[in-house]
Formats: sequence, C-alpha cells, structure tokens
Amino acid sequence: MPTLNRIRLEAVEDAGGGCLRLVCAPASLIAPMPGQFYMVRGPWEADPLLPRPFSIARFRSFKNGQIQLEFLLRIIGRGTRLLGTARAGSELDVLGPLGIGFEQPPGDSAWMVAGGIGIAPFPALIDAIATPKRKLSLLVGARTEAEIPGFNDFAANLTGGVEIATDDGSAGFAGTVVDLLASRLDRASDQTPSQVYVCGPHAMMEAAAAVCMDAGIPCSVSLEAPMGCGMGTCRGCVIRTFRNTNFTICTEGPVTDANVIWSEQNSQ
Amino acid sequence: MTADLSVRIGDLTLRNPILTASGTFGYAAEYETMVDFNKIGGIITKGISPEPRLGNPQPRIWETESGLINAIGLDNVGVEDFEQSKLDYLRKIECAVIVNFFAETAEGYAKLARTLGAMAGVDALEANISCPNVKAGGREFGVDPVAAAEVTIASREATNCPLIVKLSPDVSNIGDIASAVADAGADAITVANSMPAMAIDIESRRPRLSFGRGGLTGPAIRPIVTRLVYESAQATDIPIIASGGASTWRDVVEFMLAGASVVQAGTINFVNPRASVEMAEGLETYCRQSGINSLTQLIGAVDMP
Repeated sequence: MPTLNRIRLEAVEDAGGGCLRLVCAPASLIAPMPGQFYMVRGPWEADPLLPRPFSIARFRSFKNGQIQLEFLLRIIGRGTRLLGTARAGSELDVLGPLGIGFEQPPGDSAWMVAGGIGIAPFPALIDAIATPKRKLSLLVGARTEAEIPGFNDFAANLTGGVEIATDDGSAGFAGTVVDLLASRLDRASDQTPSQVYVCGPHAMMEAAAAVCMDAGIPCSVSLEAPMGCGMGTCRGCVIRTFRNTNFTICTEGPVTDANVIWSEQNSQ
Repeated sequence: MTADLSVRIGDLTLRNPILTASGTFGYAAEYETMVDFNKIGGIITKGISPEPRLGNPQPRIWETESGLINAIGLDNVGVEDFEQSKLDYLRKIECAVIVNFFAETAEGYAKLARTLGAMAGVDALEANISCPNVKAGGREFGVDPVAAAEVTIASREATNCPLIVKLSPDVSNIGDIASAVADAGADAITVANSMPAMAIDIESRRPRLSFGRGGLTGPAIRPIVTRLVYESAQATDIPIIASGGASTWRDVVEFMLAGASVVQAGTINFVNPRASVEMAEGLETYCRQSGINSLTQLIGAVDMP
C-alpha cells in the first residue's frame, strides 16, 4: 500500500560510473519488496512537474520499525539533474512502494544482468535472495569502463562472481552485456542459472530475454517507460505485449516474466 | 462556522467544487488508500468509449516546462467492462461519480449517454467533444458550434442524467461554442481540455511522442484556461467547470474569479494524489478566513479594467 512521505536525505554519494546514491534518513515507512519502485521528487514548485520513478536500490529495516531507503540514479535530464543537486539535509517527496517486485529464484543459482544504471534494483534483490548455498552472479555492462556503476558495496554476496562488459572493450568482455550473457551461458553449460534477472534499456532487456528463452531459463525483467503517476492512472507507461494486449508497467510491473511481454517464438 | 461550498450541476449537488479530472484519476479505486473521497466534490472517470481501446504505442508522455504533453490515445476499458469491473467500486464511494465519455458519431454519443446515464451509481456524464467526427472527415466535434450542439442535443435527448460538455481549447471563439452547447441543453460546460502541442527531439528529429502531436496539460496551460473560462462565462449562464493546470487552492480561487463554479484537479494528481483534497481544504479555510459564506461571492467576481 503506497504512501506519500516527505523524507530528509542523509547522504548523497558518488556511486561510481557517473551515478549517484541518494541515502534517505530512516523514517516510518512500509518496507518495500526488491524490484518495487518509488516516485521521487524534490520539494520544488511546478518545474520539473512530475516525480521520477526509481527502483528501490537498497533498504534497511531498523529495530524501531523505521525503514531507510536508498536510490541509485544517473543524471539524464532535468529531473535527475535537479535531484543530483540535493545534499544531505535536503528533503524529497517519495511516493511508494509501488508496483510488483522480484520473486525468489526457483533454485540455488541466479544471475543478474544489468545495463548501466539498470544495476539499481539489484543490491536490494541480492540482500533478499542471498543464502549460504545460493550462487549469485552479476553481469554488468556499459558503453565504456567509466560508465560502469560501482558494485563493491554489495559484492560480498555475489559468490558466483561479477563480470563486466563494455561496448568499446575498455574493461572486461568486449561487447554488450547480452553478448556476455550468451557467452557465459555457453561456458556454463552444466551450471545454468535457475533464474536470470534483467534490468536495463528496453531493447537490451528484449535481447537478454531472447537469449534466456532460447536457453530455456526463466527470465524476469524490470521494465521502464516514461511514467507520470506510478499508480496506473495516467496510462503513460503502458506498453503492448506480443499478444497485442496492454501491460501497465507501473501496476502490473515493473518486474514481470519476460514471456509476458515477448513471445518465445520471436526469440528463435 | 464552516462555509457552505456546495454547488449544483443540473439536479446534482456537489459537497464542494473540487473534482478530479478525467484521465488523471483512473476509475478512483487506484487512489482508495490515499484519498478521502468524502472530502472532494466528485471524481470524473477516464473517458469511456463504446468499445475498449488500447491507445497509442510508446512513447505516450513527454514532460515540458511545468507541463506534460500526452498522446495516450484514449486507452480505456470500454463501456461493457466499465459496468462489469469498475462501477461496483464507484457505487461505494461517497462523492459524486461523473463518467466521461466519447464516441465517433453523434449517434454514438447518444447511445453511450443512454447506456451510462441509466447505470445506478452514475451521478452525471461529461461528454468529451474533442474527438474526431468520423462523418466530418475527422474534424473535431468541439471546434464547430454546429457539431458541438449536435452531439449535445443527441446526448441530452438520450438521458436525464446531468450532462456536462467538455469543450476543446483549440478554438478561435470559445464563447460561440459555450453558448451553442448551453442552448443545446447542457447542464454545465468543462473549460477546457488539453491544449494541442508538440515536442521534437533535435537529435533524432523525430517527435517525442509516437503519435506526433499530443495535448499539453498542467500548470503551463493555466493562464490560457483562465482566459477561456472568463470568455465562456461572458457567453453563457450555465455553470462552468474549469479544467487546466489547477494545482492549489489559490488556483481554484483564481478560476472562480474568472467565472468558474467548479474546478478540476488534473495533472497535479500525478504529482500529489491528495492534491484535490488539499485544494478543497484550502478553499474552505480561505472562505472562512475571508468571510465568504457563499461561492457566489467569488464566481465571476474578477474586477476587470
């Protein structure tokens, strides 16, 4: 059940790769599920007008029941630029938690595939699904090394390792993170993951979903589109599925099984 | 002493003059946990068409300075599913339920007005006439006084339910449309709808929206709508419902001074789902503190030079 709260920022940190981490002060909030999101806006007047959707990057629950939220963002436009000027002590209007989050993987191994700032929902997911026997891996891609977001603060539970892909070959695998996913699946023929989680640009998620469908591996994606309300009413984030039905990202997603959006036939 | 903020639209009495605008409040259930419906005059549903509509492909919205351009494409569940899956909830909420509707022919408006007007729980209808008239080569009903009157008469004859007609802002003389629609039997007019607009990505040289053009809403259009409300109020005596950028109780007072009896909260619902409640509460406080005990003291009271 979402609520609208004005929350103080405790810290604004460099998260690496040109990304920022907004750490909110603990507040009396409902705990989110990993993969859920919030509509976030500074307490400014009419411009920029709309709140911006951000997946919950990480959250902590305190003994007194308070919840501390963290968001990761990349500055891409006017809204994020202004949010990027926030400092410790600034306030944010935060509406959420919203939408449907990630589910637990069905088995003992899961891979997360991030395109750039698509890494955002994975720290919270890792916190929620890590167990001593579960092998978790992160594949993260960007155009170039300088754009790879940081992951050291949540890498401890990535017992299956972290692999980087850069389009220009400046670090790690030379190619897209989807190419890396396909190549890693070839290599890991006897240790395929029970679940792949993908977050990144729409076309990247579609390509990653096709790779997973070919390999017969469940793939869940965290979708995005320009969003006005986060509550299903503005209809701005509605996309068409392969069945020619509407899918409302903010209320039916943002996380969904890839085969709800894209056909398995199209993947071959 | 609390001020009496009630207003009448035809046979319908609203407890206060704040409504949520069509397309910005879904079918109300979406905001159940966040908005106290007891505190607003009423809600207006997403526009209902004879058949369900999927709407346009992505991208559907683009934000501009203090505004939002949308080309949703009238995505809605259609009248059948509205009755089956949305109306039960709307019957339970304790404010007026106004159903926005549109069709492609005057006969289509009449049929839909008859069907919706007969549904228990529907307190009033709002006809969106900013839609292409398929029999007139796709020209909007709302830009021509004759076509606007035609759909109003067709809808009026089909139902006794209070009828609001929502005008297009994209006209050279809104007074002509307002008086034509009033003479045709509308109980009230909504002034206005989203303002035709466009934004272009200078890198790709393509429009920001898949549909090319869209409709601008939000605070950016409020001064234009204030002028349209004023001109409409000069042309007709039926109640005017202002719709376009109102975000605070101050905006409500301003629209009333221009001649509005009722004000819709629209795009601001996306920014703050409780905006309509805050506007109603702010108006109440303002009236109490200013010694205003009837909204008639405000409506049309602008002191024009």
